Amino acid sequence: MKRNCLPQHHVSDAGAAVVDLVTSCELDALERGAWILGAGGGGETTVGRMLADRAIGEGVPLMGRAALARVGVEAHVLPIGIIGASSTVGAEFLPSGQECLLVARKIEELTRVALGAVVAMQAGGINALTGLAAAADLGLPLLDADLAGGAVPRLDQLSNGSWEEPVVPVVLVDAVGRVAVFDTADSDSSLDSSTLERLVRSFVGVSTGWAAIGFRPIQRDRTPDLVVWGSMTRAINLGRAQATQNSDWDHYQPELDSQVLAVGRVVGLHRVRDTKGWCLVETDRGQLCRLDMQTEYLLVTVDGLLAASVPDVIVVLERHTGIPLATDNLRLDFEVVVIRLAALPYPDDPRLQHELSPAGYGLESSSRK
Amino acid sequence: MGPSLLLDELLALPRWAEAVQLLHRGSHPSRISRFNLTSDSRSASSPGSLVCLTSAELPTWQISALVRGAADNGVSGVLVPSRDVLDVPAIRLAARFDVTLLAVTDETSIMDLVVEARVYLAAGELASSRILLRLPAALELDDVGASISAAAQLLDATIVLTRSSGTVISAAGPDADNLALPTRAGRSVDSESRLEVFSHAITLPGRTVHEGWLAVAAPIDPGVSTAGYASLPMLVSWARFHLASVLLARERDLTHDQAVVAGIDPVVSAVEDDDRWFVGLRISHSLGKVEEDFNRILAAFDVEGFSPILVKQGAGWSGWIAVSRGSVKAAMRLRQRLESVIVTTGLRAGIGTIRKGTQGRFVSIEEAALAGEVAALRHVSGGGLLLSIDELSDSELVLLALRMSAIRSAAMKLLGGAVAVPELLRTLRVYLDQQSSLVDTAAVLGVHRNTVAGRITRLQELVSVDLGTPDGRLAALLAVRAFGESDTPESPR
Repeated sequence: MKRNCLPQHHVSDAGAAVVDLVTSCELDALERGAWILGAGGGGETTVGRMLADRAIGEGVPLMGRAALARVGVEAHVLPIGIIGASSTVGAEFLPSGQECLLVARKIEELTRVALGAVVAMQAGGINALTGLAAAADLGLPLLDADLAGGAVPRLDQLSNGSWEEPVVPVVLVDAVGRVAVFDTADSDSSLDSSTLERLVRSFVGVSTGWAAIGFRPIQRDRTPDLVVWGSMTRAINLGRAQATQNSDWDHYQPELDSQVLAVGRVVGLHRVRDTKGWCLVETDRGQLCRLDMQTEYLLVTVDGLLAASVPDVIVVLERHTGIPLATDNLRLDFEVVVIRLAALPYPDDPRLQHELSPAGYGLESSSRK
Repeated sequence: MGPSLLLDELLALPRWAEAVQLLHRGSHPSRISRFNLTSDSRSASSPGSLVCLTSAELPTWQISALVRGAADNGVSGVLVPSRDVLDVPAIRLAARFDVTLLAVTDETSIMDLVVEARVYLAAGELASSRILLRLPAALELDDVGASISAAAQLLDATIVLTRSSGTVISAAGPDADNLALPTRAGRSVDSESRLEVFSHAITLPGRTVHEGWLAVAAPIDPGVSTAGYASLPMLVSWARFHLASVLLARERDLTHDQAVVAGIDPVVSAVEDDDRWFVGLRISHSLGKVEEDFNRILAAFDVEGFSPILVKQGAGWSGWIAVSRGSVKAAMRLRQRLESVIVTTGLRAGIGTIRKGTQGRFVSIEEAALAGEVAALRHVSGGGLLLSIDELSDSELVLLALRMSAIRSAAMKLLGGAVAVPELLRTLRVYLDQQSSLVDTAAVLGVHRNTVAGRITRLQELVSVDLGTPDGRLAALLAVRAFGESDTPESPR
C-alpha cells in the first residue's frame, strides 16, 4: 500500500538528532542520494530499493548520535551490508531477501549479544537500502550513520575497524544460503583487516559473486567513535536536492561545502583490467578535467591542478538528466558534470586516515609525504 | 646568464638524438640552460630549465601536475623516463599549455643524458679554464717579450705593453703591428681593423701617475673569448709587477743618497745578478717613530753582515738582500734577529723565499710584498709582525687574491645595498660562516632567531644572488671576504 507522505515525516536537515522515521516517502530521495554518495561505485540500487520497499512497512526509526542512549546500555549495533559484484545482485543471483536476516541470526548465535540497532555498512549505493531493509526485517532502528561516509572498495577502509577494534566474527551468507564465518580461536589471536579483506573476497569470488555480510556488533558506548555520523540523512537530503535540480549547473550547490568542478564532454577514457583508470573531460571553458578512478571516483585534477581527492566524495552526473554515473557506465562523448562533496568527519585513527587518503589507493608516489 | 642550448642543439647531441622521442613541442624555440632533476611532481623548476623526472613510479595524474607546474614556471620542457608514464591527459595538457614534452626509451638513463648535456654546456668554460691555468706559466718566462708572446698565442689575441711615454716594451700577436697605442683606459672598438681593444693604465701601489699601458685586442668577430676576459686581471697584475721591477731598479739609483745615509754601499746593487741568490723584503709602517724603528732594523742587518738594498715605496720599504753560499746560516740568524726587533716596533714585514737570478729576485720581492700585506692585515695584539711567504696558509693567499680591486668591485656589485648597512653585512658573514644556520647565527650575534630570519629576508632582496642555492651562497661568501667587513661605513648609532 502506497503511504500517504506527509511533510512531518521528512528527515530534518540537521540530521537525525533524536529519532526520525524513514518511511516509504523517503525511499526515492534515499535511493537517489545513495546513488550520489556511491561516488561512481557502491553498487547499483535497484534491487536494494526492491528489498527496502518490501520490508519498510510503516517505517524504520532513524537514530542519531544523541538518540543512541535510548537503546539499552548492554545493547549492540550490528554493522551489515552486501559485498561483492553489484551487477550480479540484480542480474544473475537475485537475493531471496533473507540473507541479512540469516547473517544477523548467525552473529547473535556466535556473539550472544543483544542487538539494539543496525548500521548500514555504506550509505553509498545499494547498502543504504539493504541496511534499511535489514533494520526493518529485524525490527530495529537504523543509525543515521554508516561505516564509510559513502562508499569504499575495501573492508580495511571501514570505520568499525578503527583504533584496532576487532571486527570478527564476520559472517557471510551468499545467494544460495551458504554461510561462511571468519573468526579467531580466542582473544589472543588476531585477524588483521587486510587479511580479512582477502579472505572475504576469496569466498565471494568462489560463491555467487556477492554475499550479505555482518560484522561483530559494536558495543553501544563504543559506537560513537566507530561510525561516520550523518550519512543517511545526508543521502536523503542529497536525493531531494537532486530531484529538484534543473540543468543550471553553474549554480548547483546541494550542500554548503560542495563545488561543481567541471561541466563538459568526455574526450578520453581508459580502464586497466576493469579496476582502475582515468576519464578526461574537456570542459565548456576549454579546461582539461581528469578523473582517476577505481571502483569509485578517487581524484580530480583540473588543468593539472588537484581539485578534489578521496576521502571527499566525487560525483559524476549526466549533464542533461542529473543521473549519477557509475565509473563503469562512463562512455566517450557523454556530457557530464563533476561535483565534489566534502567528506563527513570519520574517526581520526591514523591507519584509517591513511587508508582513505589518495595514498591508501596507491595514488601518491612513495617520495611524497 | 650561463651558457644555454636550443632544444634542437640538445637533441643533436649523440646520446640524446637516439634516446629521446619528441612528443610535443612548444610553438617557441626552447632554450635550455639548466636541468632540474626531480622524482616527484613538486619540482623546484625555474625558467629556462628542462625538468627531468627520474622516477617512473609516479602515479600518472602526478605527471599532469608536473606538466602544469612546469607551465606555470616557464620551463623549457619536461623529460620523463619512459613513454609509458605519459598518458593522453598528460599529453593533452602539455599541448594546452604549450609545454615541450620529451620521453626517453627504457634503455636510456636520464642521468646519463643530463651528464652529457651538462658537459656540453660547460665545454666552453672548460676550454677557458685550461687557458687560464696555462697562463701563469707563460707569464713566468724569464724574458718579458717571451711572456707576452706566449700569452698572446694562448689567448689568440694581440697584447701590447708600453711605458707611459708610449715606448713599446713588448708586443705580440697577429695585429701587433696595426694596433694603435693606447692612450685611454677602457674598451674601444677599432672599426677599421675590426678589433675590440681593452686598454689598462698600469698604476703602481702608492703612486697616482700610471707607469704604462697594457692593451689586449681581438677581432670583433668571433670576439674576445671567455678566457680572454678572465685573463685580463692576471695580465694587468703581471704588467704591474713587471713595471714595479723596472721602477725599483730605476729608483735604486735615485735612492743612492738614502743608501749612503743608511750605511749601504750602493755599488753592490750594480753587480750583475744572474748568478746570485736573493731574498725579497717588504717592511711597512703606519704611524709612529718610523725613522728610529728603521734604523734599528738596519742595525740588525749590520750585525749579521748583510747589506740590504731597500728603497722607499708607499708606506714602507721594499728591497732584497743577496745571500752567498757561505752566508746561509747568517741569513737564518738574520731572520730571527729581524723578528726580535720587529716585534718591539709597530712595523709589519714580509720575507720572500731565496731565489736565484734577476727573475728570481723579482719573484722573491713579490712574495715578500704578499707576505707583508698579510702581516699588515693579520691581527696582532701590540708590537710588529714579520712573516715569510712560507708561513702563509693557502687560505690566506686565496683571501689575499680576493682583495684585488677588480674582484672587490664585483663583490660590491653583488652585495648591492647591503654594503651600506653594517649590521646586515655582519649578519650575512656570520650566517654564511655558520653554514646557513639561523640558530647558530643568532647565537653568535646575540640576537633572536627571528631577527636573523628577518635580516636574511632583507638581504635576499638586496644582494644579486640567490642565497637559497649553493652557488649563490658561495658567491656571497667570496664577496663578503673580498669586500671585507671593515670596509663598511660606521653604524649611524
